[in-house]
Amino acid sequence: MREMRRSVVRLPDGAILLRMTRNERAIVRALVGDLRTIIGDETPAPGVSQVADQADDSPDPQAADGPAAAGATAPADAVLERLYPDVRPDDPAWSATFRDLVRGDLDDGRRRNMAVVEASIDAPTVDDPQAEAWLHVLNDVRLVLGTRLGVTEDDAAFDPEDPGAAAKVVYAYAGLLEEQFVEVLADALPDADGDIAPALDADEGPDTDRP
Amino acid sequence: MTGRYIAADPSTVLEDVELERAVLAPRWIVIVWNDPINLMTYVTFVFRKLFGYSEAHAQELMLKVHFEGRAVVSGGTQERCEHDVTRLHAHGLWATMQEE
Repeated sequence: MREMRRSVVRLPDGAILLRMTRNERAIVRALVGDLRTIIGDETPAPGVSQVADQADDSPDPQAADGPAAAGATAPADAVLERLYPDVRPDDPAWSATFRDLVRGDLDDGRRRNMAVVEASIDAPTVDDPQAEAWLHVLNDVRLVLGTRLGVTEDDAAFDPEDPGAAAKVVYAYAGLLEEQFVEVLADALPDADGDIAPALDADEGPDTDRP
Repeated sequence: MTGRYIAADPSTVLEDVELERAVLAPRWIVIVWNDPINLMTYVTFVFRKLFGYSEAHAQELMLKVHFEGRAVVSGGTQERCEHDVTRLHAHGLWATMQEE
């Protein structure tokens, strides 16, 4: 028996401890690999149909290995629509042009975050920028997984016979982990009145100006 | 930038052309829509981080998104809103913009 414990913990020295087992890290690694097949190594040229490009150049995300692939049902274009939403739904042509302009930057950011997570996947601790990358990647992973699973606000009863059951468990795990990254990073945000959370001061040496 | 502008009709002299333009320019708003995937705490975090909103204000906006389906989270010029929407998309939120 093991006691429930937090997986993401701010240490007194300011570092962020990742109390994750080897298996948990393997799950995250597989999820990042799955996300990489969707984002790709290069952003498609402007005007190229996203869906066609997906089929031509990348492994089919629904056929990918790893827990993320199990139970995948929604078409890939639903996933891409969720990752790159129309900025102006009233003007699809304008939205498509705008997406062509910014998609490269969005993809570059996602690739940078994935690289950071892959580089620190086995690390005992991460710093704040690394933790932000983990948060980004976990959120992207959940967008992909949740879209494929057709997740809704209503919590349907969990059915172990459901072909998507394994993917739903992974989705739930990614959510629990993400929530902990949010909590630790939100504590470090300054509030609007300028207060800085104590965690940011933890690394300071003795302050002689203070009693 | 300010300046005097003599219109085609010389009796019409506009001061502060830029100000005039700013007043006449349509104002744009950025809307975040509810979605069943993003965590409530994450959405609050993103509002605080991107816009510098207080925790209370960010949470209020998040709850508006959650219960009313949408909330206006920022506004201004078209360029400003394009910037904000792109940053929200980079964070995985479902955001759109429109003329007010």
